[in-house]
Amino acid sequence: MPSNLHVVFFADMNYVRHLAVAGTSVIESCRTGAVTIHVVAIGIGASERAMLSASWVGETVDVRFHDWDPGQFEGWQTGEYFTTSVYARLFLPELVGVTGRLVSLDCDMVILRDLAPLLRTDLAGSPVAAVREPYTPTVSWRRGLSNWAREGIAPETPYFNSGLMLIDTKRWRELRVTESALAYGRRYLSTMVGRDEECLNAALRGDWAELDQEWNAGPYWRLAHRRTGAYADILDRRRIVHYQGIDKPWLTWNPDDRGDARLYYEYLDRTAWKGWRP
Amino acid sequence: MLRIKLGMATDDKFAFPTAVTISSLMANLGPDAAVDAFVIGYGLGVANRRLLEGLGDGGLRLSVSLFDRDQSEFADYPASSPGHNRITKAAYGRLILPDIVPADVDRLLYLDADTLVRHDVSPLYRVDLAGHAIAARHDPVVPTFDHPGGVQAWRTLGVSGKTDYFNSGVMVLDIERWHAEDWGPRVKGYLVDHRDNVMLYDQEGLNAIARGSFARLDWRWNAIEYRRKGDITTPPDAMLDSFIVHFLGDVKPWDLPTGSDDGACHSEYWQYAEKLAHAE
Repeated sequence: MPSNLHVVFFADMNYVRHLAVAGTSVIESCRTGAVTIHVVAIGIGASERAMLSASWVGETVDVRFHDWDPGQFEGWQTGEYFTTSVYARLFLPELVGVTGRLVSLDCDMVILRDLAPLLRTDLAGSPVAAVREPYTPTVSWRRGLSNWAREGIAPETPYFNSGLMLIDTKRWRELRVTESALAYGRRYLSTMVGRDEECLNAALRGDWAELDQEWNAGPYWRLAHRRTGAYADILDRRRIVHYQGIDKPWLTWNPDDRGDARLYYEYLDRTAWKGWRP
Repeated sequence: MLRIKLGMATDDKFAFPTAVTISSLMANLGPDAAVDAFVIGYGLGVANRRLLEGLGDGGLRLSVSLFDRDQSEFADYPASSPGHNRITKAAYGRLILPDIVPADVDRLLYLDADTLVRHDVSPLYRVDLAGHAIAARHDPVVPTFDHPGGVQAWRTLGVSGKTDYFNSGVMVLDIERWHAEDWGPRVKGYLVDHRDNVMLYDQEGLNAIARGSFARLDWRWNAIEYRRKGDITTPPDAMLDSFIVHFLGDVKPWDLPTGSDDGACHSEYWQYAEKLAHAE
């Protein structure tokens, strides 16, 4: 069955198990047609690849691995919770080789609903659609672009979370997004704060289509006083749960937990890592 | 499961007491809680980095994230004051912790390195801030702005001299409110503007901005052992009821000979300290 839903994840060995969870949630949420899952693999071993493939079986599922080596990013900003693997994100269209639309997802996510409607988003000529980062709504906000002023980017330019991106690969190539992201990174190696995400926001300079928060709902919405107005029901209508930030579900296991961490283990128990607990 | 976010800041000299504070916090933590510690390190040596990072277990009960910074970021801040020793500039680190912790940290427990935790801090972390950015203990040593150790420039602030003053050694911070009310730049602004007329450094800057508006913590969360000039503020017996002891005086337990029991809870302090020393 030909698939027009192409999803890409990138992962190193630290994130293989979480990738299994996220991929399983993509497959289980898929209601229409087939899905191709691309894995940009950074040092993922043969047995882990076999476990991923075993976790993602089905006639409508196609799994493809693409190897990538972050060696060229030696000396680039990493930080306490990130390795140079994150810079894989800058190369996704090139690595995957898809010519149409591509959905890029973080591994620390659970996809609750079909991704097909996302593919129909009107990008209005932009190479990317994404969700605005609620913690950093503009480039001049804390943790935004460390060098927005020097780059001549207007301070009120919106800033997106790169965990979910709908990519028009053709437009991405035309606008040379990878190249501008890399150039920004090289210019500001010592002052960057947001790694791959900062590079992409700098490269796009606000030229991205904004998706509703339900497509990438992170811990920002934990606090009840933030869930007002249009976001009053965000937890009910969210399509993707993003375990962004420090509170990762795999760090804690509590059988009585009814929160988002429980979701992670429900999906985990339907992968080859079934039964794993911290 | 409660994941408590702990913030501390230290230089090489305070790294060992920082480790003691964290060890004592973990030893008394309730079974349904875990801790993510964010420690700013100013010029930490290899051994002290290893000591602090070695406390963590990968995050199941405790993750320790070290953030290397340079004290030159406080070049404009007061470095000395008339009635007080020179400050260890690492103490200003608490003022930038809200900018350094990950974006999804909504609430932060801050502890000074000269504290010893004797109780589960979960209830402290859950304290009702009642709309304030900071919860802290009303200071028993410097109770009001017009105390000699208080806010030196209080008259210029247009507040009463009897405005309540808090101790900044144990604080629970509402990070969202801290940023929304612009605390970081405002405290910095106060300290830089008054750099020649500040007595108690970061604590004075925080109080000058708070103007008495802070959630009051029960005294037991910051039981102050203040032995300077024989002026004992909390009766030593009461220390046994405390949840967190704060060794505020000039004589710190770790400066005394190993095993000495010179003050309240010093013997408890040494139980943790010796365990850590042996682990090294």
